[in-house]
Amino acid sequence: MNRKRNHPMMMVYELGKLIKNSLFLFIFFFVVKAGSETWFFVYGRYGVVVLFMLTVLYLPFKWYSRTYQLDDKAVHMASRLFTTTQKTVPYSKIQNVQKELKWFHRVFGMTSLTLETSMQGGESSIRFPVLKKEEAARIEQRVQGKVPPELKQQKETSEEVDVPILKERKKGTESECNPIDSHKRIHFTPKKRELFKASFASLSFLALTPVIGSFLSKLDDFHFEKQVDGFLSFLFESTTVLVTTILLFVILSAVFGIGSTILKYGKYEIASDKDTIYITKGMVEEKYVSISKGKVQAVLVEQSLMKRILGLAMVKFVTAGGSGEESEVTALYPYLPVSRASSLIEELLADYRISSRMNRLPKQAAWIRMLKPSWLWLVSTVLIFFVKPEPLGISQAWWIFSIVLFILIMISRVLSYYHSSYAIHDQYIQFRSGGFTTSLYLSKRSRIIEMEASQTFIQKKVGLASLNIVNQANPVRFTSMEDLPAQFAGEAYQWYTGRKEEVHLVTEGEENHEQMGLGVLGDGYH
Amino acid sequence: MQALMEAPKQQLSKDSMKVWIISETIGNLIGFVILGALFVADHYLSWYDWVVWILIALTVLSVVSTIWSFFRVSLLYKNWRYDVNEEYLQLKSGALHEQHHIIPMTKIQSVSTHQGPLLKKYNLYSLKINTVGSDHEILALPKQKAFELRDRIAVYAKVEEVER
Repeated sequence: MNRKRNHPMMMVYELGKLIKNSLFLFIFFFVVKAGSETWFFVYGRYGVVVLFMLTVLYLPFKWYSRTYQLDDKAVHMASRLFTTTQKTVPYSKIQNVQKELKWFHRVFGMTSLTLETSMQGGESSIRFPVLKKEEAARIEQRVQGKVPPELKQQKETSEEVDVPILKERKKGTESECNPIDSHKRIHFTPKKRELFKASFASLSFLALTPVIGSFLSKLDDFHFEKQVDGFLSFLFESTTVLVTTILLFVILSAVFGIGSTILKYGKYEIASDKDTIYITKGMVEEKYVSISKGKVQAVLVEQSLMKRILGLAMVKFVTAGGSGEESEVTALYPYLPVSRASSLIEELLADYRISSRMNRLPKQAAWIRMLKPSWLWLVSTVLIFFVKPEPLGISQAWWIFSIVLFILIMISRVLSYYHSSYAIHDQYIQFRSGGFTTSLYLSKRSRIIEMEASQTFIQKKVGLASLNIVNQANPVRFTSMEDLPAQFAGEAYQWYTGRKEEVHLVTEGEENHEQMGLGVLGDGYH
Repeated sequence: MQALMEAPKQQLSKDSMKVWIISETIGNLIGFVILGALFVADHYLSWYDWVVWILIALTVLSVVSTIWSFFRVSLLYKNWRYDVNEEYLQLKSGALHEQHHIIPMTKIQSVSTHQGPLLKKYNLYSLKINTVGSDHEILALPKQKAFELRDRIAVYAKVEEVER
C-alpha cells in the first residue's frame, strides 16, 4: 500500500495561518515601533522577515514529509524530515471522527479531518489539515470499519482473521466489518420555531448589552466623554426619545440574539445509519462529527432553569475521545424539545431505553439534605463579614447578601430533593439529580467500569446510602447519586454483578492488542 | 445494605495493626516535636499574643487525634475486607463511612506489590490495583498471600507481570 499525503493545498492553508499568526509581529515591528532606533527593533525587523521567509520555505517540506496510510486494522502516520516519527493507531482505538470546514476549506472545496482517540496526553488525536472531501470520506469509512466497495472484494479474498482487539466484547454485535449498505437517516433539523425558542433559552439577546457598554466606555477612553455625556443627557431629556431608544435597543437585541443563534444552530443536522451517528452544524464554518454507536458510554440529558421553563433540553453522549474540557461529551443539539429528546435517544441508540417511571428519594433524604451544613454559605458569610462591602451605599449589605445566599441554597436543596430520582430497569440504570440545573444520567451495566456504594454514619442511621458509578470517558467520568435507600444500593450492587449476561470474556491464548499493533506496523512498512 | 450485598470476607494481616500503630506513633511524635519547637520559639521570640492560643488549640487537637488514631487502627482493621473471584474484585472499608467497591477483573490495568520499611519489618506487602481511572490499595498482606493474590489478579485480568 502506498503512502499518501495531505492535499497540496495544505501549503496554502498553512501559509494563510502563518500570515494570520505573524501579522501581529509585523505590525508591532514595522508599524507600532516603526520609529524606534534601538538595536532590538532595528535588527529585529530583519529577524522577523528572515524568520517568516524560513517558515514559508519550510512549508513544502512539511507537507511532503507528512504521510499517512491505511490498512486493514490501523492508520499509520509518519513524518520524516530531520527526525522520523511514526505513529500507528488501530481503528478500534479511534473514538470519533471530526471534520471542520473553515472559510478556506469551503472556498476550495476541501475539508480537515481529525481522528480522536482515547489516549492520554497531548497527541491524542490525528489531524489532517487539508484533504479532498472524497479522501476524507474514504478515511472515515475505513476507520469505522465500513470497507469502501472497491476494497471490499480485495478484502474478501484475503484471509479473514477475527482479531480480538477488545478484551471484552458485546455479545451478538458484528459492527466491525459492516459494508456501507445501510443508509443514513436524518433524525433532526431545527425548525424556525425551535430556533426562536433556542435564542431565548440561550439568552443570546442579552449579549448586545455588554457590547454596547464596552463600546461606550471605549469612546470615553478616546476622549469622547463630552459626546457620550451629551448623548446620555439628550436621551433622558424627553420621554419619547428615551422610550424610542429603549424600544430600538430591545428590537436590535432580539435581532442580534436570533441572528447569532441562527448562525450557530441554524444549520444543524443529526443523522445516523446502522452503526454511526453523524452531527453536522454551523452556517459559516461547518463542523461535523461522527461517532460509532458502540463507543457511547452513557447518555446525559441536561436542563438549565431557562430550558425547563421553555421545555427544552440538551442531550449529551459520554464517549472516550478527545482531550481537554467538555470533549469527553458530545452534545447533540443543545435546545431539543423535551418530548423529542428521549425519543431521539432511542432512535439513535437502538439498544438504549429510557424509562419514564422513576422512584423518588425517601423522606429522610430531604431532611439530610436540608440539615447538612453548607460550606459555601459559611465561608462566604465569614468572608463578607470581614470585608463588609457597601454597594450602592447600603451599609447593611453583608447580612442581606448572606440571607439571600442562604435562601438560594435552601431553594436549590429543596429543588434537588424533588428532582432526584432513580431507576433500574433491565440492564439500564437511570439517575436524575440537580437543583436549578438538572441532569438525567442513563447508562448500561456493560458500560459501567466500576461501582462504589457508601454510607456515612448518619446515612446508616436513617437507612440511606450513596452510589458512585464510573464510566469510561477521558479517562473516566464519575456519576454519584446521594441519599438513595440503602435497600436500593444493595440491589444495584447485585444488579451490577449481573453484567456477565451482556459481556463475555475472551479467553486466554490471544495476543494482546499492543503486540498486534506492532505487528501491523511491521507489515505496513515493508 | 449488608443483607443484600454479599460482603467480601478476606481480612488483612493482623500484623497490619502493629504497623499502623508504629507509623501513627512516629507521625504523632514528629507532630509533637514540631509543636514543642514552636512553643519554645514563641517563648524566646515573643510573637504576637494570639499565636500562643493557636498553639494551645493545636496541641489539644493533636492530643485528641492521637488518642483517636489508636482507636482508628483497630476500627480500620476490623472493617477492612476484600475478596477476589474470576469476575470481580470487591473491597470494603470504613466503620463510620462505609465504602464498598466492586471492580470487574477485565477493567483492571495493572497490579503491583509494594513494601516500605515498616511493612518489611513484619514481612508484609501492600497490593496496588490500578484501573483506567482509579487506584485501589489492599493495605497489608503477608508476603505469600500478597504475591499469590497479585498473580491471581494478574491472571484474571490477563496482565503480563514481570517477575523481579
